[in-house]
Order: sequence, then structure tokens, then C-alpha cells
Amino acid sequence: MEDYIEIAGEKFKSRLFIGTARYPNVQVMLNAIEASGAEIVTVAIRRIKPQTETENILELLSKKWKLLPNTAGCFTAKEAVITARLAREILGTNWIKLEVIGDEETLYPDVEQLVQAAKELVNEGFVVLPYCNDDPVVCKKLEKIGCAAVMPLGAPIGSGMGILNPYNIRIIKQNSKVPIIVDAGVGTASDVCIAMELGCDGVLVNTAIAQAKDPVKMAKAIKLAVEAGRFAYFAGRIPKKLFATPSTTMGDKIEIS
Amino acid sequence: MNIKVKFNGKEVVTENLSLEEFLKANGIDPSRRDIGIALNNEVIPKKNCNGIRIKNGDSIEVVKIVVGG
Repeated sequence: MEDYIEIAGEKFKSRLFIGTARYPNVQVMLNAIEASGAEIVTVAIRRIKPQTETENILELLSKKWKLLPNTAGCFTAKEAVITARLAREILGTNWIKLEVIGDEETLYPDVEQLVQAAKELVNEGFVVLPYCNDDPVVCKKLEKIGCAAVMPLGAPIGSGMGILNPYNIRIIKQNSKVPIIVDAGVGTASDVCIAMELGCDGVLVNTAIAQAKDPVKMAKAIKLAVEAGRFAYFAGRIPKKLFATPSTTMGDKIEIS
Repeated sequence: MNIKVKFNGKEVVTENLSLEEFLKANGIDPSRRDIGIALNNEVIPKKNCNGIRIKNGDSIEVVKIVVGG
């Protein structure tokens, strides 16, 4: 079956997007990304500290994977727009995973600032992939603005709580003409499987892999979960019912009085 | 004559330098591929750094690519 995710005219075989933060070390991160089969990995932009320079992440990742810069840590549209422009200057890509955070504790998006930043960046020719609430109205709004994909959260970033509102995710997917990529909240492979069974076009995972006891094994498990969920979505699940339906026919069974 | 600028959020006193000279004086090679520069919230292409003189009150941001989710 020819199956790929298409974003802004680019096609990718893997529907799994990998975040590169919080791994025990760089080698484990590289091995985990390799095991995940992902083609797109996210990176961030931070102020340089010349005295505490470590490895050059750009050199390590850019030869093998498409880099998707994010605006993580931005709390206003203005910060996010400047960060996106800096990312474009460094990486030569107009793709941006747009995050505008409204609250440090929950890391929930500030929808007002997010929509404003998305408008500005779309107008500047960016391919905008906004991280947003699992709210069908907001997701539709972001699509109408011209975002290339929409990335509703499954649960708060790094919480590992899974897909908290599968009904909303289903509505968001059914209403959308652009790819829906669940971003944040995944705890383990089964969460990814649920997102894909709901019809989502992809999943972005970071902490669930990076902080697993064995990140490389978890990366592989999540890769398989994406595939399993995708197949199950196409196969079509049976409806849920309150009472049992025998799988073995009841006719012609022995009856002892 | 010395001037005051904001460099990555911190106020610093510096000589009146070009942006390239200022970066080098702060241990940053402006030709590095993984860095980006903004002057007063405007992104500056790295190749233009030598032609820009920093002024009193300027805000300079220098960022790099790091791991992120």
C-alpha cells in the first residue's frame, strides 16, 4: 500500500516526527532516531553561550534528517515570529513548528498569540505547523489561516498521559483538510497507536522515547505502533457494544438436561 | 569611546565595533553555520555582519541550533 504523509507538497513515508531533547546522551539520541525510522526531527533555537559550547547539533542531524525548527519557549507572537525568522536564516528552511506558550506550569498554548503569530508567518511565506489545544474550533481556525498542518496536543507536553480527549481528536481530524499530527502527551507505544487509529496523519514524540528506560527500544516500539494504528484505521474497527456477541455460533451445541 | 549594548539580554560595555568584531570579541565565530544573529529584533544575514557598526543602546541576540521537541 502506497501510504505517505504530504505536507506543503513534500511527501514522507514515515508518519513519526521525533523531538531531539532530553536524551541521556547524543549517541542514544542518534540511535533512537535511526530506530524510529523518522524522516523529520525537531530542533530548537537558544541564545549561544560561547563558554559552555557542546556538540554541534546541526552537523550531527542535518545530513540525515529534515530539521523542523520550533519556537519552544516563546510566550508572545513577537518572540515566536523573530525565532522563526532566525531559524529560517540558520537552516534555510521556511518550515516552522510554531509554539506560543501561555502558562509555564501546563505549557498550554496561548491561543490568541498563537493565531496572531501563525497569520504573520503564513503571510511571510512560512510553512507553519502550529502546536495547539485539542480544540476543533482553534484547529479549524489555524487551517483557515493557511497552516500546512495542525498539531493538537494529546496531553500536556512531557506528561505522558496519552490521548486525553480522543473524541476531540476525532472531530479535529474529520473536519480537517490539512494533516493532523498529534503533538505532546504520548507516554508509550499504545498512545501513538490510539492517535493513529483515530485517523491522525502523524504523531510527534519526544519525552516518551528520550526518557524511556531504553530509548532505542521505545523508538522501535513507537515506530511499530504508528504502523499498527495506521493499518487498524484503514481496516476499520468494529462498533463498541454493551453486551456480548458470541464469536462461536450457538446453534447445534450439545445440551444436557 | 565606549558604548552600552544589550547582548543576549545582558547589558555590556564595548568599544564602538562592527557587529563582526563585536561577535569575535565575545568568542563567537560569525561564519558558524549553526548560529543566527538579530540586531534590534531584525535578523541580520551573517555575511552582512562586517558592514554594520553597533550603536549605543543596540540589542544584539545571537542564537544557535540546540536539541528540542
